[in-house]
Amino acid sequence: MSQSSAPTPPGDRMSRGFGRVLIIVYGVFGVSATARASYQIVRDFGEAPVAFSLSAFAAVVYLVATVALARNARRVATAAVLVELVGVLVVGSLSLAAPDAFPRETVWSGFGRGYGLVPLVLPVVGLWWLWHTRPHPARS
Amino acid sequence: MIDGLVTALEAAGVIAAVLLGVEGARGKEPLWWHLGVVAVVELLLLVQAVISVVLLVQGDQIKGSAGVFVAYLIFTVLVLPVTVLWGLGEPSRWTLVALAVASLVVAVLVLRLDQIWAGV
Repeated sequence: MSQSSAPTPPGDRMSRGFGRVLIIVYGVFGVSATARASYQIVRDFGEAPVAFSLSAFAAVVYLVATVALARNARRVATAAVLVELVGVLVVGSLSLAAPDAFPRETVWSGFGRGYGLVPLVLPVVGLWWLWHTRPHPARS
Repeated sequence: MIDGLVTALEAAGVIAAVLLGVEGARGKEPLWWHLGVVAVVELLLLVQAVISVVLLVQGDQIKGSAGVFVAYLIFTVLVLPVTVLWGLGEPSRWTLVALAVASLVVAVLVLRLDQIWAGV
């Protein structure tokens, strides 16, 4: 796709071009985080209820972001990506400041270092993409 | 797991990621040989999955958690086909970039699989 030369319906640019790459990454993340969190909750929830609940919450947010991006649901996608950004920043900071509160790793611990910092980078890229594909109020 | 096969998969995943990433960055559209590269990685993954299952059935023990291992195993086999189907919905340079990312994900997942198997 040549950048912005083809007339694309303004509503669905989000899921096109680079958006497809983003959706794959979000999808991979959502599915693996969900699998891991469900397993941890089923197996040993009692060990670290807060950490595992957080992991499950993060996993669901990734799945919501994936579906919202794929279906061009801009507001839902923006909300989900913002929640991720806040989540990774808050939990990342807390996990470094008070490691005792998180006896087991969550996706967001240490700003996602267990996942190659992808959890930190992903929402930033996501927000950039949402900004990049924003609808123009005044069509030129 | 079999060390040689794991090494081969790591190499194949990374090489595929670099090749497809460079092609995507150069603005190429998906060609048959691109899919061939993906197919080689997928074939190795299938062989690896079958061997892992056979080893398990024969009584090999996973030192990590078996549930996570099986979930990851299924996932590694599905990542590339799903990306191909999704990417070809709108064939473009981004299809190649998506496949490059997926190949890298496969390499990372195989590394994790090996770690879970060995109980790291």
